[in-house]
Amino acid sequence: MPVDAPKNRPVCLTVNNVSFSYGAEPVLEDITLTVRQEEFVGVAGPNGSGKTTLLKILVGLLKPEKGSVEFTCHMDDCEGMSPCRPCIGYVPQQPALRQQQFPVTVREVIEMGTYGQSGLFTRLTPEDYAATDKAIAEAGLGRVAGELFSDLSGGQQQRVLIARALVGNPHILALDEPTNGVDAKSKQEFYALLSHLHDTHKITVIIILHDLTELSRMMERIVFLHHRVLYDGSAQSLGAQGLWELMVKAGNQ
Amino acid sequence: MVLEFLMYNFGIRAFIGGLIVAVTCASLGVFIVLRRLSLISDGLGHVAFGGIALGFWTGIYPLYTAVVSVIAGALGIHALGRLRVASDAAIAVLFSAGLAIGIVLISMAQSAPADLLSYLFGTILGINDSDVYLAAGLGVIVLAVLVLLWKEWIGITLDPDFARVAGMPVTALEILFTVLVGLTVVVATRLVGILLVSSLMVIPAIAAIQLRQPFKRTILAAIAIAIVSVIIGLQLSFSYNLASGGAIVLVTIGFFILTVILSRLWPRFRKELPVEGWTHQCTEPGFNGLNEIKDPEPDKNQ
Repeated sequence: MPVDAPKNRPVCLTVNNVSFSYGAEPVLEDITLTVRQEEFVGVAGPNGSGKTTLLKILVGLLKPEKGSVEFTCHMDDCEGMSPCRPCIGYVPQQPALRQQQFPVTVREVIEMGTYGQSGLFTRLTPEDYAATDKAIAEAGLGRVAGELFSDLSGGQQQRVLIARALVGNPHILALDEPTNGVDAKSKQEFYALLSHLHDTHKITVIIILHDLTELSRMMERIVFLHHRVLYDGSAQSLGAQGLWELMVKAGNQ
Repeated sequence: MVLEFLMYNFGIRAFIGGLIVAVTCASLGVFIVLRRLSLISDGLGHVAFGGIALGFWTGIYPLYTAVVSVIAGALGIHALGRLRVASDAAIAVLFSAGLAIGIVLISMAQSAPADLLSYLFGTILGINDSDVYLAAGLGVIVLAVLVLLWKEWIGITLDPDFARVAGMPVTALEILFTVLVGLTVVVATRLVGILLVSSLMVIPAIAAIQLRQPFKRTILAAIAIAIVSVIIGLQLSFSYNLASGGAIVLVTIGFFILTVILSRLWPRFRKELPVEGWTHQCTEPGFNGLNEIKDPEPDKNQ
């Protein structure tokens, strides 16, 4: 399928013939993608289609069995990082933080987002604390900043994790179903914020969403996965109806 | 008389050694418990036993061989992990290997060294100056690494995946952390004994976590519980001629029971805490914050 991304933007990351399997079960087969700088890419597909695996490969948590991922944007900003790559803000689907009750406050969780900016043996700077304060205010978490993370509801915890991903001013935002457990009003506010960040800060956004209506409405491009890439192109031309048809097709395979 | 053991030189040595061990064990303990590695200190304690036996067998000061063995054990746990052996299984293998090596080496020495029991059960009231210096040296190293890499330890404890994406060398940090635990085990072995060292590391931490305080306060609470336990345990040991290691650990268990009761008496019910809407305080000229973001369409399902 042709990619409908503006060709004048520089390529930010390239996925070259990536394959991955858990044991004998292939999850991703020969995935090839190019994401351009400032693109807003939605990744869709049925459960178990390899979306989360692909995102984990993109952010460096999994190594592909075959193929490679190559970053080519913001390479001037990665001094000291090995391997050299742009700053990535990541919101995982099942973060360890939500799996047990840690004695850690909302502020302490959001501060973690600044860790990628500084190297080993360094302490957080006044700028890091200021960035944390700003993220807390932007996420509307000012009144709960001193509360324990585990005392918050699921939706509120997700909001904290999104704020943590944003605090480091990432070049790329990788979000794995970030609105899971978030109420409808907060979802809409989050989508508005995400659009705003993308438009004004020129962040490249790669997001896995189950909400097909939002995917077709918000994204400029959709990658539909079912172990392989079944569709890669304009969200507008596909539409919610086209996404449903792809879901049905993938379900029948 | 309160703290009468401080009137004697051996009591002062025990007090100083106990404080070093309390602070080191409790600080690491919170990270150990939160990383669900409570058995690692027990496993490395048994590896240290193998090292101590090697020291007796070779005639080298046993704590030196114990240091080498726990570092080898820490690396071994991670090497087994890379071979896809689950971490609890890897600890069990090292635990068994350390104990078995120790027993075999002692059996080869025909008769068990008289000093061996002091390593198994600890003799905090019988430690000498060189034990205190070794404890102080290793304790300073462990605490310095803990403080210097503070945010890294928080990163790999709270969310290792996020830490990895942020560019932290998570695997190297995990290995270093295990080595720190091993060194702390050696520090504490002479004082509370191999069999109880794990208790001094994890029980003050578990007790402090029950209090549900922010991270730094939890660590300070664990240190406070460990220090008070050492002081009370030493006094009980001195007054009633009890085994000092056992007395200290029993006091920590008393604190654990107390904090569990306290946390149940004043429960913090899961509540819906107030959260405002998303805003964006953008610094770009001409941007007026939230007002510039279009209001979301009303949710038809509501």
